[in-house]
Amino acid sequence: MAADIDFASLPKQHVPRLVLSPRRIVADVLSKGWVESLIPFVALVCVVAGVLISTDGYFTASNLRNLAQYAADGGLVVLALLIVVAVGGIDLSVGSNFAMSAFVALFCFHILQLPVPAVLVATLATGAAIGAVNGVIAGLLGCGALLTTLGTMITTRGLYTLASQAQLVQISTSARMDDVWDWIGFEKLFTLPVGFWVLVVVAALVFVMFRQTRFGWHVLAVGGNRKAARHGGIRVRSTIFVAYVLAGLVVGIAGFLFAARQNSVGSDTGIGMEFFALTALVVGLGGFVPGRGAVLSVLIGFATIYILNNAMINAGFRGDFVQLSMGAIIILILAIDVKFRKNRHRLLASTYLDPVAFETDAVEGMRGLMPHETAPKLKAAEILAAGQVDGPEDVLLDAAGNIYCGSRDGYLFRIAAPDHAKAEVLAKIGGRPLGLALDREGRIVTCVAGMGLVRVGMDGKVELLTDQTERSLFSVQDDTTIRMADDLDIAPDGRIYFSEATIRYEMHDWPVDALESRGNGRLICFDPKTGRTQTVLRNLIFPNGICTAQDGQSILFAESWACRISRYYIDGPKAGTVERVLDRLPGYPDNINRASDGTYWAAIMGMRSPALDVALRMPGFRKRMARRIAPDQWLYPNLNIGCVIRFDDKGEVLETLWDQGAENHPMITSMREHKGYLYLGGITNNRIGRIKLEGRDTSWSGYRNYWGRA
Amino acid sequence: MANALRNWVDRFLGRGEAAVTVPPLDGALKPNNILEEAPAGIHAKTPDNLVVTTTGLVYSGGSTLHHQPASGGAGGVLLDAGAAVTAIAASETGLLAVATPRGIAFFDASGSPAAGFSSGTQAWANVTAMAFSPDGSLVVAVGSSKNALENWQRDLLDGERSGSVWRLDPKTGQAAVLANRLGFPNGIAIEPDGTIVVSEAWEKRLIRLDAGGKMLGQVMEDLPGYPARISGSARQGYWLSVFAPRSQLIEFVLREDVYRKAMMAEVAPEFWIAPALRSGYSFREPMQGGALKQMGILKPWAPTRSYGLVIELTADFVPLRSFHSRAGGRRHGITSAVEAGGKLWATSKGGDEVIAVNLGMQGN
Repeated sequence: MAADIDFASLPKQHVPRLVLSPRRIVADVLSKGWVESLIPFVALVCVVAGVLISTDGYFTASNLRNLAQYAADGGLVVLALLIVVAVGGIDLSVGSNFAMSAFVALFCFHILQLPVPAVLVATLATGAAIGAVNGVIAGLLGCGALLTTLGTMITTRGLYTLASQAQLVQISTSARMDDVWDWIGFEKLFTLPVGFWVLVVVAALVFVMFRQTRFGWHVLAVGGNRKAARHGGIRVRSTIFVAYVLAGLVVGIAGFLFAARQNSVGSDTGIGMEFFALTALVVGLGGFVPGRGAVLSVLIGFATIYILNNAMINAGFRGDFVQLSMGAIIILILAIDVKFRKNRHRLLASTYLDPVAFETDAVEGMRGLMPHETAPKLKAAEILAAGQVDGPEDVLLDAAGNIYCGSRDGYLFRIAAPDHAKAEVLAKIGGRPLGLALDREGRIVTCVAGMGLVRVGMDGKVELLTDQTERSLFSVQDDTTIRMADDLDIAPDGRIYFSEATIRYEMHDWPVDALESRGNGRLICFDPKTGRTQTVLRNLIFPNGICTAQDGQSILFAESWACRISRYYIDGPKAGTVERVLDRLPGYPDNINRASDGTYWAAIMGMRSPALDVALRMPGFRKRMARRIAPDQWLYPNLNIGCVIRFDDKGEVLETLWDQGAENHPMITSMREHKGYLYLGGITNNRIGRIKLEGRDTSWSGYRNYWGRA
Repeated sequence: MANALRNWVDRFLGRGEAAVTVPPLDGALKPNNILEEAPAGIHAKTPDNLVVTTTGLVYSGGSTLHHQPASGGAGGVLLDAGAAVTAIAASETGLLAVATPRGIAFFDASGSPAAGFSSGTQAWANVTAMAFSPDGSLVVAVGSSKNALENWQRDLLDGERSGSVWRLDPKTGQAAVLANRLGFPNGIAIEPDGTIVVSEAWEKRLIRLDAGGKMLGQVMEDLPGYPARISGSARQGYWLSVFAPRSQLIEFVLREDVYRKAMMAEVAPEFWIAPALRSGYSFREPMQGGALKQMGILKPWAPTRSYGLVIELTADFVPLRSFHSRAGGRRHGITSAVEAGGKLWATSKGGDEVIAVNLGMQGN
């Protein structure tokens, strides 16, 4: 039995702590959302670099302060426009609104002599009111945004011209001084102008709104697909209305800042501002894209346009020349951006597969056990519940002999003993239930790909135990969420150890991970006592089956593509170390489970083909293959035929079960011994297999072996 | 220079010569299951070349020639050639030419050696196909001068173009080469005007040579598989056997020198990424993604290394219809097919069977 074995003689298995791959970083970056604003960002860097080279002393502190001072109102107007564009509209009236707000601020301050907070409120109210007019007509009444805001643009401009001509002289001759007013207009806070800080704060608020608030999400949903949003129960019209009001409000802030700084308005105030803002928005978003609240992107676009414009005017070019070259540069940026966006997914698809050279050693330890050397025992397997189950990756038996298995469409089935004829639904979990285990209380704990670790009671109650672990330190990809939980087992103290086979592939394309043969998987521990989830081993090569060793001190885990089974100590003096148990297998090991005589069963889910073994040495070959030929033509591991092996703690293979002709039950991903029978599951099968074992303990059941009770 | 640059760009972008596209089975080549579903045929060990003689059908299998009445019924062994028969041809007068690695021998319709005929002093190794011209001379295709015929996969993967076509006068034994540097010529048809059509397997095409061996052009190009022998149909057209399918993976491996050489050095030939006459018999064979079984079923459109395909062509080599045995089927590796007695007889070298498909029932 287990106690007799000299574990010290087993070789250490090295598990790399850190894996860095440039290709993988590129692929991970390309799959990030923020890479959408890569081209605007590069454009900004180019503009800044260009200005640095061509202009002396442009980026001095004083000039930067100056830039920041004047950037505030333009930046705010761009943000206002972003809100409206995100909801699927457009606002041409921002320029007029801006001028009107500025006038109202000056009127309230100089003519009405109101205190500054009241001036602010009045100005914001003006901006919001104009936004509300837009909102009522374009949003609530459903008139076209372009026509509506064109109308408000002209009307507001007319009102502004009338009002400002009447009051301009009085405003300019007013001598009212106010500390707060001047502080807003001219003072600096942490070396930067107050107005700039206002821009920063508003940008942060809009960012949070789009990211975190219900209203922000509704805005994006309405902009993304108005019909779908309505079907989803979002009040589309009022959302549009509020978005316009909000945009008007932000323009009002811009107008107020302008008024406080300039202390005057002119007939050209705000003229052409809408087009400047639209240009900045289009450069930042890479087009006129509704449903995207990319605050940072549009600010980058704004900064690009603003600095370009400013630097060229500073350099003393003629105005028409500036306009001409600005237009050309913007078209260039947009053209590159559109191309990049269009081809990003292709670039990602051709760089995502990141193979590594992997030397597969010749098969060893299987003498006399290969299919041509043994009787094809699985050919005689009895078929249970044929056609009633769909992809039983794992099979589990309780003490009474009922079979449990997951299915491809997210159900957990029970096939009742003793005749095992009918599969009935125990629970609908969702996701893709894979590995199963019984806990001390007789509940089923299952690894569900796409969900995480789930516990199901015998009454069908489903409970999510964990779906997150800590994030890897050096990974671009956010691997917090557990996407491919595969198999698990429970330690005597109740801790649940489970494997996440790969963090780079999903359930539908997991065999592609074999073409990488890279350590993409991890071993995770969940402690039900503390509710804490912790990654215990990283960079494992498709960790798959997990089994608590017979002595309860360690767990065995299979690394499929590495064709090996290792031991991880969870208790005792060697806790935390990894030792190799079995390697050089002829195929890819899957689930491991205890056998009645103190040994272990392991399923071999597929066999190595020599042509693939050669290809595994050549990452370049696999890279080119992934780029050149269609995925269903890729060279794959042969997962159509497998076998069952039985091995002991020393790592010696004692027995194999085959179906060489692949006639009856060739595909095996799991097996469980129960009362003298071995039950077989396979991830692409529509059946459960069963064979009678010779000379085994016919009273042995897994549940009693684990928890000491019947 | 410009050429080298273009090749480099092609390789980088996977265009032109570097493209690994394979023509789809479409139009007249639309897949069906007629070959696979045809009634059980005659079991024979690696049947290879099937010809129509004056008295019935004769097919080769290993070193023996078997006789089979075209109307059906039991056949028997016609003769034993003493070495593996690689090609046979029958003349209208009943003369039978049999090629083995030892040379070309001539027999009469009853299987006894025919006197007065000779293949001359030439060694005649690696003969893949033969056909008698109307003038009585024998046109002989030699697949490769580098590799023995059983190593045809190596010949393909090495990109050999060492095949040749000869004209042999059986009466005098004089032989003259008509064309050489061919990529495994694997089938011959003589057109009524005496021009010769040769299937060039590694080039996936049929070429036309005039009686003197001058290349006249390609009659079919970019076939979806590797062509084998050609025989005449009752409608003045032809039957073309296709012994293995092309696949993107194989085309890709053909362009990957380092991998290809390592694979050929280390892996047994039956497990190479190469076309095959039969597949699915061992778990060591390479498997492609689309061949992953679901619910225990292999999809018939799955990528496969072997296939069964016979195409009927018009006299102008336009495909009319085709008979298939698809992925996962057993009647793969069709090396020859002839029409006799209202049936299409085909040798499935991979499936160890001579199959008869009733043509009357298929319609058109």
